[in-house]
Amino acid sequence: MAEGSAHGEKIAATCAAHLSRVPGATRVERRLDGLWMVAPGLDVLAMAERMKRLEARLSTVSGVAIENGETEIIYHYCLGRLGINIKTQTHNRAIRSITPITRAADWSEREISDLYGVHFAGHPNLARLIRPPALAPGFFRNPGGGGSRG
Amino acid sequence: MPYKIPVGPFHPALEEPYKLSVSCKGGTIQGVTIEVGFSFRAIELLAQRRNFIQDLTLVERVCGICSGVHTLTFCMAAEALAGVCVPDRARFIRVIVAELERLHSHLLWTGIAAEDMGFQTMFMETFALRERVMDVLELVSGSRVHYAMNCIGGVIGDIRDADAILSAVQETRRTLERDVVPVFTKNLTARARTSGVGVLTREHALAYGVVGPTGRASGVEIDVRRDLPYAAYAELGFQMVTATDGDVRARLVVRAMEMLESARLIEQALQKLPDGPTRAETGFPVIPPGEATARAEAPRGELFYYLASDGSDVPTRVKIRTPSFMNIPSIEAMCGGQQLADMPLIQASVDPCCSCTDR
Repeated sequence: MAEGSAHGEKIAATCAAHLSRVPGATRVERRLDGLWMVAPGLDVLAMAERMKRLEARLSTVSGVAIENGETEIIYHYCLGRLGINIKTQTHNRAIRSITPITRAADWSEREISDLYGVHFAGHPNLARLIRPPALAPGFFRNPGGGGSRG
Repeated sequence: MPYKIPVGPFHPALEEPYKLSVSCKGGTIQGVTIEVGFSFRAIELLAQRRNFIQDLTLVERVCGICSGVHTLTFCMAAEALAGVCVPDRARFIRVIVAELERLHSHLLWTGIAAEDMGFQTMFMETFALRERVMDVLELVSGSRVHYAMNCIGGVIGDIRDADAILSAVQETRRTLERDVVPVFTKNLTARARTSGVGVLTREHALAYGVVGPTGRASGVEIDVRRDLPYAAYAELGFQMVTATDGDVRARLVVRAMEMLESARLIEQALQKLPDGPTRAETGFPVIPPGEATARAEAPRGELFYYLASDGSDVPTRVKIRTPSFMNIPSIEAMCGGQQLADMPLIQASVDPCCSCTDR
């Protein structure tokens, strides 16, 4: 990560201020790899609008399986020399799609739908993207980590 | 009356399998639908069942062309998690291998682009030059592809014969300057086939989140080597190459000039190569619980990794977002009103890597 310069610090502060005004926002923390916000009840459409206004670039969206069939959804942005990671989660296996606001999210959301069985409400075309047709959506839901080794 | 032509998944114009369903009226393209997934191997899932060392071997094989940058980005994410500081010599060697990789990747692409233009001679010339770069990679790492150079905390191999590598790279740069770059920037045939073809406007490039040379050719000035410098790029004075026309010619010229910049970076890194250890520690690294992201500039653009750990030797999540995953959808925006005969060249100009996209 680029070392903090005065300009870089200003961007980080501006971004944090914008994010904290999104409904459902929580504390924005500074980590080695950029800004992080963990906000399970985040209004993702409002978040996407704010990030678009800031002219942040969406790198991708990650899905991570958690309990009760839900999925952590992490939006990874880049604003100049700052990485910004916003973690939220699905509720009842669904979340609003940000694709109508941020076209770059299109395939990322389709992939999470395929692999984690998440419904992105309002996505213009939530068709199968990379999942082999013979496999049902959500086949990536088996956890990884130390408990997974067979 | 409009009709649909399937291009792929197996087609002479395609390096790797994906499908473009091209809707045409006469010889003019109306639109294109893109299907991917033919090379899906569930690598992320496999990586979440193997330990960090095994994962290095695994992620190297996401792609055959940009293999080293995958291990590099994986290592950077693991190093961020573990708080490992990579020694200086290793950071410079990482640049050398990454830029050699960019060189051979761009040369491969240039050859394919030449082939798609019907410019057989330049296809032969660029692939012959690429062989020289592969020889250098074999000298450095022991392999032409899948170099297995990166490890968590540094690099596995070392540069023992810097002079031999330097002279080979200098010779490559001279051939690029004398033959390859002038042909692709000035040759009338190349210009006629590529000027004004497959234009991607800056607005579309931003909307699709396009990265790498494809984005830079449309005036999107992003490059991880400048924006989030890693390895030794901050010390080497990296120069970004951009264009504004956004046509196939711009993407060609950007890659041609980037090859020169890569050669220069390798020469500089070899000349400035510091002494010292090549890795922070030996043995199995301890990766504590946590999560981290890492980015690097692969030949096709920004490569992104998200890594999560529960403190065991197996990661709980390995998320890989490759540049082609963002760039391939932008083919839709390049095709409207173009000629069907230009379709192979337009889709090739994005440098689509389906292994990377599908994983």
